[in-house]
Amino acid sequence: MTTKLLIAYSLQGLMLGWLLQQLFKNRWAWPCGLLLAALPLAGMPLAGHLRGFFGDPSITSIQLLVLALLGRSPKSLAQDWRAPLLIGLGGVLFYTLALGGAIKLGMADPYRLGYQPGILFGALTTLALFLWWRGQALWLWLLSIDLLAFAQAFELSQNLWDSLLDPQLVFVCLILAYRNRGHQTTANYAPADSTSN
Amino acid sequence: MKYKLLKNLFSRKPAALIAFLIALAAAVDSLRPLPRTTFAIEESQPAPAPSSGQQRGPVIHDLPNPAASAHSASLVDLGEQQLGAAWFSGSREGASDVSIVFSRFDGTQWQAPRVIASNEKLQDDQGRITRKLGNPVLWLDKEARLHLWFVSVAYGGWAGSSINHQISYDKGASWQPAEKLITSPFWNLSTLVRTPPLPLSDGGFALPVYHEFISKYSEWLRLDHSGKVVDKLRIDGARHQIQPSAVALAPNQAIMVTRDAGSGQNAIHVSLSDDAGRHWSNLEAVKLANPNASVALLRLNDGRLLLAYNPQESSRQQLALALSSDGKSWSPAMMLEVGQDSDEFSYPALLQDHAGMIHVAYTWKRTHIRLQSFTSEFLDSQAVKSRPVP
Repeated sequence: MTTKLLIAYSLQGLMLGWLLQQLFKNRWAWPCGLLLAALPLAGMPLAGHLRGFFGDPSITSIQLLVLALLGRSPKSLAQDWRAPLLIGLGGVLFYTLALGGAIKLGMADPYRLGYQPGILFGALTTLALFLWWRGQALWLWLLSIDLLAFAQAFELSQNLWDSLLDPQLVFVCLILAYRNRGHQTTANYAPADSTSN
Repeated sequence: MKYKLLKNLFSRKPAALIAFLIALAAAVDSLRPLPRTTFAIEESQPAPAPSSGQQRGPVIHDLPNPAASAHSASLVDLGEQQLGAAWFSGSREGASDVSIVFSRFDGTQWQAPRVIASNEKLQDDQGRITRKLGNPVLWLDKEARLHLWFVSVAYGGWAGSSINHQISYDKGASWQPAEKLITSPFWNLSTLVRTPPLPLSDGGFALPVYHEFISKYSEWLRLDHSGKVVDKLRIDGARHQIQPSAVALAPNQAIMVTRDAGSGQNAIHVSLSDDAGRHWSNLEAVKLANPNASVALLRLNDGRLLLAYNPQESSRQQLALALSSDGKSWSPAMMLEVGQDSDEFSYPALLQDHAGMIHVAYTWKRTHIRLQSFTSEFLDSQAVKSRPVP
């Protein structure tokens, strides 16, 4: 097994671990996920089956998995409903259009923007400034690593969207938005005007 | 107020923003526009062979099939009077024992087919489950790299397909591991290939493909020299139009025909591009029937267009050829097969080799692949006998 494949399978194991952690709130969930992913099934590890169906996770998902493993998930995601709802609904709209769900209305394909990502870079820069203004430094770091991974062609895909987003992340965000409904958090660090006095 | 705004700006932690700007600068290389390529027409079009004036044909070969079922052939000219053919072979379409097989015509006979892609091999190459394979497409580029594109499915039906690409540097004797093309953001679902690419002047390829999940439509992939996807385009008016088959007419011009997958018109549709595939005209129906079956298009070395298709609206009992000078008006050229009841002659592939011989391979009653070969003089003699398309 190559190092690349081992990493890909481990990521599927971490996804399983995260899911088990959400269900059972137990510290053994992560190693259990990794062990489950290694279980042989019809000639290949369970991770290979999951990878065949889901593909590899986006860089954003990988980073969020690592943060969850370290117990440092962004508060705006883990305890708030607004950010997960925004990502979740945005993702549903994006995938509907990218899969031709609105083809009766036109042939525009938002996924194509990820190949020559000038427009996406503009949108991400605007988002980055907004996040900085709101004191969400952690999200800025996540976006920075997404871009660096894209620049280094870390993923198999040469489309920026595949570094930023994947369907599992969108699905998890929709669940988090529902679970955290009614909760709001402040920024990960306090805005300047609230600490100056 | 202004003071408060400035204070807010400078009191925020700058490190994260600086990191973002550095990452943005690192990725700025990806903003370079794609080179404006043209079609490498001399690569896809053999030079006109000196006419022998002889009417030769049709020479019929039934290609040896190692299993009960065969479907979806692709042809390639390997040079030195050798041809290659690939198709999918197994107990039935969609079965887990289906593999992609490759056979070579050595100048006198077709060799026993060899498996060049299987579920097991693909799983080993890519480390992910694969349940079924289909639609091989062969292409020999100017560097003598033999490319194979084919679809694979992990779970579900053909709408869940993704495309794989593998290369042989010895004309099919051995193959590099297959790479997956990432073409869709949602679990890489639903991009399929059926027809050969058009080589581009930058060494890359334009690959006609199609989508089947939720809606059916035709698409156009641009690949770089290594085969990575660098752009993707939906074809205007392509709803219900799949399996595009395209040929270059000039360095900037190309034409595409499609299979009608439920528009209600049961007709072949045509689209044109005047800017090397960056834009395509709205797909429009022409007066050629299509029973929701794959079609094949070829530009002959005399400039005419040759189409292989099923000339009925609801059956694959017949397989025919038609000729055109502009892609809009077509004349019948010859009938390849006329069957009855549930006979199926389908999924044609066309090729004109460097000697000028025209070859058409197709599924023969799902049991094997049949190849018919003839000269353009023979084709012309048959075309004279045929009735005009009503």
